[in-house]
Amino acid sequence: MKIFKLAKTSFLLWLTFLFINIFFIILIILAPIFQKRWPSLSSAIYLIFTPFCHQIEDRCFSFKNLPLAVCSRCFGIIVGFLLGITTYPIFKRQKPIKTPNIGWFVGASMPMAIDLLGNICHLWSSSNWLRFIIGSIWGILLPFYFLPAVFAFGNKNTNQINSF
Amino acid sequence: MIIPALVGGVAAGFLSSLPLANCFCCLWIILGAFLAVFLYSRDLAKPLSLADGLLLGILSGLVATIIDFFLSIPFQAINAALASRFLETLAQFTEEIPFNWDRWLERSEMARLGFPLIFFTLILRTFIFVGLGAVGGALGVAFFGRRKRGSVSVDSKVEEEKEK
Repeated sequence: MKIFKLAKTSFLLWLTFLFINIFFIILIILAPIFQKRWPSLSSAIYLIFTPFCHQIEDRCFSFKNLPLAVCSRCFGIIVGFLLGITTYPIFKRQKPIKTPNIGWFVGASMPMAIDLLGNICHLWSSSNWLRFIIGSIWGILLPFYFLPAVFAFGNKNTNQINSF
Repeated sequence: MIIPALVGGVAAGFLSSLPLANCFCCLWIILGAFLAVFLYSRDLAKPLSLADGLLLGILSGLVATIIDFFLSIPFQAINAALASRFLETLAQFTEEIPFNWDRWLERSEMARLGFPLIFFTLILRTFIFVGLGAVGGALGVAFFGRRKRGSVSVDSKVEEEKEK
C-alpha cells in the first residue's frame, strides 16, 4: 500500500528533516534537565539558541522551575514545524513539489502579528500557552513551503522516482 | 547569486547579534534570506526556481553564522551591559519587566565555556542559521518568484514529467 507518494530521494530528505527537528526539540527540553548535573553543557545549549530567541525566563515554559532553552512562542514554532513535517506526506501526496498560495502564509502570520503588536503596545499580555498555540499555527505551515524547495533541490540531479 | 546571499546574510547576522534585537525570534534570518531572494530575483527574466531560492537561503544562513559569530564577541560585553541598563531603566516606567532578568543575562556568557562546548554551540548554531535561511529562501520564492496565477513552478513540471 502506498502511503507516501514521494520520490526515494524526497522520502530520505523528509526523514532526515524529521529527525533533525526532533533532535532540536529534545535539545531545548534537555537544557533545564542538564542544569544541575552538567551546568556547562546546559549553558552551551542555552547559548545555541541565543541569536534566535530572547529566552526571557518569564516567557518560557519551565521544567523543575528552570526555563526551556527557547520562549513559548519559539517552542510553538518548532513543535508546529514538526507537526507540519509529519503531516506533509498526507496532505501533499499528489504534488509533493508545489508550494501553497502565499495567502496561507500571510493568513497564518496574522495571529502572531496581532499578538505581538498587542503585547508590545501593552493592550494585553498573552499567556505562554496562547503564545505557544499561535507559534505552532505559524510553524505548521512552514514545511509546506520549505519541503517542496528541499525536494526540488534534492531531485535536481537524480532520476529516482520510486514511490513509497 | 553570491552578492545577494552576502547582502542578506550580513543583514541577518548583524541584526541577530545586535543587543536585544533577538526579541524578534527567528525573524531576522528569515528576512535576510527574503532580502537575498528579492535582490536575486529582481533582475531575472524567468521565474526563480525553488531550488535556487533554497540555495540562496542556505548561503545567507552560512554568511549570517560567520557574521553573528564575529560580531557577538565584541557585542557580548556590550550586550549584557546594555541589556542590564535598558531593563533597569524600563523597570522605572513599567511593571511589565521580565521576571529574573538578571539570571537571564548571566546565561549568555560564552567565555566560561571550554573550546569543545563553544565548538559544539557554533556547529549547532550553523545548522539553525542555515535551516532558517533555507525556510526564508523558500518563502522568498513563494513571494518574489513571480509565478503567474494557476501556473506551477519549473520544479513541479520536471517532477510531473518524471512521474509520467
